[in-house]
Parts: sequence; structure tokens; C-alpha cells
Amino acid sequence: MIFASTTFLFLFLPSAIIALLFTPPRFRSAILLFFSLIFYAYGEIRYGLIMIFSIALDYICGIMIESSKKEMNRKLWLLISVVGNLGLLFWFKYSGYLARLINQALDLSMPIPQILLPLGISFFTFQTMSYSIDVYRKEVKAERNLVDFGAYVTMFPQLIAGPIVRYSDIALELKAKVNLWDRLDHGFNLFVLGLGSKVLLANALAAAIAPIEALALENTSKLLWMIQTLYFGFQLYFDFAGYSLMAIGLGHMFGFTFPANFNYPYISSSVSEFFRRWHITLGDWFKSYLYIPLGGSRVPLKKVIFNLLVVWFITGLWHGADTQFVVWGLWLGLWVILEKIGLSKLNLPLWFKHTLTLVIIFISWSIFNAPSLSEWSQRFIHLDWISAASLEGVMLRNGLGLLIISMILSGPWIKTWFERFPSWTKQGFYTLILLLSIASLIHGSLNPFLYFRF
Amino acid sequence: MNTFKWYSVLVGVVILHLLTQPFNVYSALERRLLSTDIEWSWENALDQTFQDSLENTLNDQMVTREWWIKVNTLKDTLLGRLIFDKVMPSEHGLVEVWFEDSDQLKRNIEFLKAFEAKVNAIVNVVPHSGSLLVPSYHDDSLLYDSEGYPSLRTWLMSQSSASSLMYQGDHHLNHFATPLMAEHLFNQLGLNLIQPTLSYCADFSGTLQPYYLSFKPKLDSLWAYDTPIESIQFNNQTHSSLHDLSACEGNNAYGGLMHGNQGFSSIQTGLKNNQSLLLIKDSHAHQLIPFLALHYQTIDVVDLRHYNGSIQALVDQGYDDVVVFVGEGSVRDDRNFFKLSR
Repeated sequence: MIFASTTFLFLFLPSAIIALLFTPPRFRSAILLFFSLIFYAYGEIRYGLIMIFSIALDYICGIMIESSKKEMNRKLWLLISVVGNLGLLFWFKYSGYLARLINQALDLSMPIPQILLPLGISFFTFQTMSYSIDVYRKEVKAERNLVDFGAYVTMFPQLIAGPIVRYSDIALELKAKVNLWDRLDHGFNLFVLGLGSKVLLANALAAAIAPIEALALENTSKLLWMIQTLYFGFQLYFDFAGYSLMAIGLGHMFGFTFPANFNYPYISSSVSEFFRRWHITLGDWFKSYLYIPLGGSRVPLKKVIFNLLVVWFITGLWHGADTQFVVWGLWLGLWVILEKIGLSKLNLPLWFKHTLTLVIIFISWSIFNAPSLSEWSQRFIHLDWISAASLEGVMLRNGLGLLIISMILSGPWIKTWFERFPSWTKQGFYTLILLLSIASLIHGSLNPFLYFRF
Repeated sequence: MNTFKWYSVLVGVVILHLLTQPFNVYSALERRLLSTDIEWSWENALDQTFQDSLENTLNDQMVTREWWIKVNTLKDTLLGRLIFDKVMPSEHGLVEVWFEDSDQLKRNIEFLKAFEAKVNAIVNVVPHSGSLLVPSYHDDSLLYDSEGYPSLRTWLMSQSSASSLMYQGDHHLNHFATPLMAEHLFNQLGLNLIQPTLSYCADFSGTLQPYYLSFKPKLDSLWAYDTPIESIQFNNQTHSSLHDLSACEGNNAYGGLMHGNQGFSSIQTGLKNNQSLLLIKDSHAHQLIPFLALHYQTIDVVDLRHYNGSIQALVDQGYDDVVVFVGEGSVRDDRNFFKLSR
């Protein structure tokens, strides 16, 4: 199920709210687990068992790590958790890619596993793995209540596309059982803002560029794909940031404080800054569980460069099991390294640094969004600048107003201005966004959620 | 009142509406049937059919649905959106379809060519407004190359300008272009063209216009070619006229032609010349059939989208002529042409 659907808005969400509000607080985790499993099964009924396996694995590993006296045993249980989670991720996400690579490298024709990717597997495996690592590091206590732990792993607001919530973020709130009535209004306002980002901006931007994607490659041009990339960059932002905000809003309504996942990345003046503002919880995850254990920045420069390359290689791979995602990660990693070794210390004007950052980022989106590296080179190297039918004008105009609004809303300026408004004006604005979003869902047909593919 | 309270009220109204009001079957604004079935079964839940049907039914049965659609259209128009569901205005004041280029076209051409060779059929592909108006940006060499299908596009364009051949808000050729395409086909069949009667049906804003509510095309006059017949039979129904012209009074005037798209129809024209025709068609042939009815005693009409029987079994009945007459839009993306091979 996706949040931006009438089924969610008019059937699932009201049922979940009523159930959580009107049952005693001690049953809240059970109710949340029940609704989360329905939410997941609604989209992927076959893979409900994987979710249950993941819960059981880390629940047992967490308790065993904590209760083991010998360091060796603690390490063994941690290893079981890590191998179990990475094994799931590898089998479902990367086995096909690896088989293709081996076939290409050794000129073999071994069968490629055709496996449907379970929804949100990249998110929930990272989440449960972080729990086991945190228990091992003695940063959190192992959860003994299976229902509470299950509610943490499956929590539907952030199950499919994050933010990646660490157990330590919500461990206290799972037990605290706060008064939900007080949290509904603010949480719902956040949800509506996220819904508007997704439906009114991301979906509309997707619809604006869909005609380009529907053309045969030979009927397109470099310029058309540049226009497509420009729209796509903002579509991706409002799609993912919108989903995160909906998740944060729902979490707030149900008594949880999820970490922020986006902080106006397009105003950044370096690639490093961009990724401190983009998908913040993933960046933090890699920093805590990969970059720092590798030695972080407190090692000789050569080792720092190696560490960054490893992190960005894996970041690319996390986003997709294909070579263009690896190239995407390494392209960004290269710029982060250049900034680390001196680019950011150059006395360049701010406007130049900002422009350079945007150019690098949008080049990265062009790689990210291409079906393959060979098609990327077709689009941006081999095609003519202008299409045979000169479609560039109509495609740029198709949604230009929307693009300009999206650019403005991708910065913090409107928010700062909006916060000065009286409360009734803000409520009117949220209500308008809600109504327009519902109208779009009822009438519109294009509703892709980009981060579902991860 | 804050947003959450408005939302709570709205949810209550929507649920009450769904539980107490009968489902609407047809949307006059969009000119389409609405989803009314929630197809529950475990099998449907596994393959997402149930989930899709629930979402579609909720959307289609939403309280004050047309109001929501008008709000959304207004929003999109204010944002300057030009292309809606692949439909866009052209420079000629018409609407045109932005085709998807896909491998389906190649597959369909192969099915058509194989069928043409196997049963010695005549195949005509009617050009779409998109091809007539902006021919250069689609891969239409497959459809219109020198060895491909007889170039109805070239023929039509040699007779008149594109803008006078099409309905304003439609992808169908108008009643002016219909005799031209009939003449083209009749040359291939070796028949003399006789004009059927022509009667006014309705002022018509097209079949694409519902996709593009913000575009208000100048209304066309829809005229129907008609020929008296003995009977037309389909779905256990028998009628004595080719068209249901009472539909001219309603919201879906074009849908009255040939009583809409039927999987299989059999026409007895009343002629006594023992000539028979198998016509495999889509809605582009609806205005053509009155021309054919002046020459054949029996015309069996198949619409592949709604027909699941064997085409070969029909062909084996021994028709004098077999014609495939379909629109370019169908050849580009319809997935039923494989039925020609069975």
C-alpha cells in the first residue's frame, strides 16, 4: 500500500487511527504491529514471511548478544544477524546482478535468478542490522518484548521508504505510550505537507516528463534528456522528501519522533553538504556503521580516500543492483574526495560553488535515472542536440510553471515566510493542500513512488 | 477548524456515501464506465487485482467525483500543463495523441503481415491525428514505408489538409475523410464506390476531449453514414439498423455508431449477391461499414479487443474478402493482434 492512495487515506489510515486512539495504551504496540503487517501484506502478501523472519532473527540475536558472557559468543550472534540481514538483501537484490556480471566476465550463460524485490527490504534490513550492532556496542538494551520489537521493525509509517529509524531513536517512545490525542493535529499537518509534495509536485513533475520517456530513443535529443533530468531531479526530491515527511507526520500521530531525512539539499554549496541534507538517515547509518569503523577521517589521507570510496561504492550499490548505480555512487564519491583534499578550501564565490554543486548533482541524476550506462551514453553523447521534430519547446513548457514552483519550494524561503502567518491561515493552507491532493489522486493515474524500488 | 478535523469529517462523509448510495455506473464528464466491482479473492489479492479494483472503485465512486475532477483540471491548467494522458492540443486547434513508441508496434506489424500473407487479406491502417499532424517524431516507417501498409496517410494528405480530415477533439477521421478512405479501400477490393445516405447525429466534442477537460475544442458536427440493412446480430441481440442513432441525443454520440464496439457482429444487408466479407476492425471502421453494406450480402465484423474465438475458424468459413481495417493507435499499443494467428 502507498500513502498517496485513496485506499490508504479513506480506509486504512482512519481505521489505524481509531484503533490506536480507542485501545488501552498497553496494547498499542500490538495494534501497530497488526496494522503494519496488513499494510505490508497488502502490497506484498508473498513476502510477509520474510518480514516475520527478519523480526525473529534480530529479536533472538539481540537477546543472545546481550546475554552472552563471552566476547566470542557476542561476536558470533552479531555475525549471524549481519550475515542474515545482508544475506536476505543480497539474495533478493543482488543475486541477479552478480549472475549477470559473472556471465559477462567469464562469457557464461548461467541462469539469471528472476526474483521480485520485496518492498522496502533495503530499509528494514539496515534498520534491524543497526539494532543488533547497537546491542553489541551496548548502546541500547535488547528488546525482550517481541511485540514491541515487531512493532519497531514493521512500523508502517516508515517501513517502505524510511527514514531509517534506529532502535535507540524510539526505544523509550515504544514504552512511554503518550497521549495521542495531543499529537494528531501537528502530525497530520506534517503528513499533509508530505502528501502535497508527493502528489501535487512529484507526481505532476513525473507526468510532465512522461511523454519524453514514451518516445523511442532515436526521436529524442540531448536537450530533451537534459530537460527530463531537470524535472526528474525535483521529482525525486519531492517524491522522497514527501514520503519521509508523511512518515514523520504519521509517526508523530502514533507517538514517535522519527529523525528528519531532508533539509533543503538543493541550497547546498558542496556535494558533501548536499548529502548531509539528502537522505540524512542513510548518510548517518553509513557514517556510524561503515565509515567510522573503517577509521573515518582520523587516518592518513590515502586511507581516508579509500574509506570514502568504499562508502560511496556501497551507497551506490544500496540504491540499485546495477552498474550505473555504482558509477553514480563513485561519481559523487569522487567529488566528495576532491572537496576533502582541498576543493572546498579554495576561495571560490558562493554562487560558483552552488552552481557547480547543482551541475554535479544533476549529472548524477542523469546517471541514476538512465535504464543502463549504455543508454545514458546514447542519451547524452550520441544523440543530436535538437530532436527531428523540435519537441524541446513544448516539453520545456509542459509544466514549466510547476518546475519554477518546485524550485522555489526546494529552498527554505517560503517556509520562513509561511511561519509568520496566523494559525488559521496555515490551517486553511494545509486543508487546501489536502483537498488538492485528494483531487489529484481521484483524477490522476500516474503515481510512481521512486524509492519503492530500493 | 483544523485540518485533521476537516479530514475526519471528509472521511465520515465518504464512508457514509459509499455505504448508503448506489454506485454510479457511468461518468458523463469523462464519458466512460466507472469501476463498481471490488474483486475479492485470495488469488486476486496475490496478484494485486483486488487492491487495484478497490482503489479504482474508491476513486470512481468518490462523493462529488466530478467536482474533484474539475478542481484537479483547474489546478493543472493554472500550472500550465499541456499534455494530459498523452493528449495535447496541436497547432491546428485539434487535439492529438502523443504516442508511446514501443516494441508492441513491431509485434503487431508482424502479426498483420503474417495474417495478410496467410489469408490474402487486405490490411489498411488508418492514420492517427498524431501522425497526420506531426508525422516526424514517431517511428512510423513500419506503418507507412514503401513495403508496409498502403499509405492511407499519403492518400489522405494528397486529398486535403490534415486539419479538415479530423474531428477537432478526436483521433477519428471525420465524415469528409471517410469517403476518401473508403475510396482507397474500394480500389483495392475492385469495387465501385457508392455513397450511402448521410444524416446529422450531434454536435460533438470528440472522444479525446474527456482526457483533456481544460481544452474546449470548437464543436464538430458528427454525421453518420448509414445504409438500410436487414439485420445486425451481436451478443444475442438483433437490430434492424447499423447504428443506434438514439445515442446522438446522449453524452456518448460516437458510441452509438455500430452500436459500440462488439466482439463479433453479423450483418445481413438484404442484398442477394452471395458476397461475403470478414472485417476485422476497431472503431475507425464504424463509418466505413455503411459503404461496404452496399456491396456485400453478409458482413461479419470482429473487434479483436473483445473477441476471443478463433480467427482461423472464421476464415475457414470461406469469405469472398477478408479486410483488416484498424486505427494506427491500436496498431501501436493494442495487445490483441496476436489473436490473428489463432
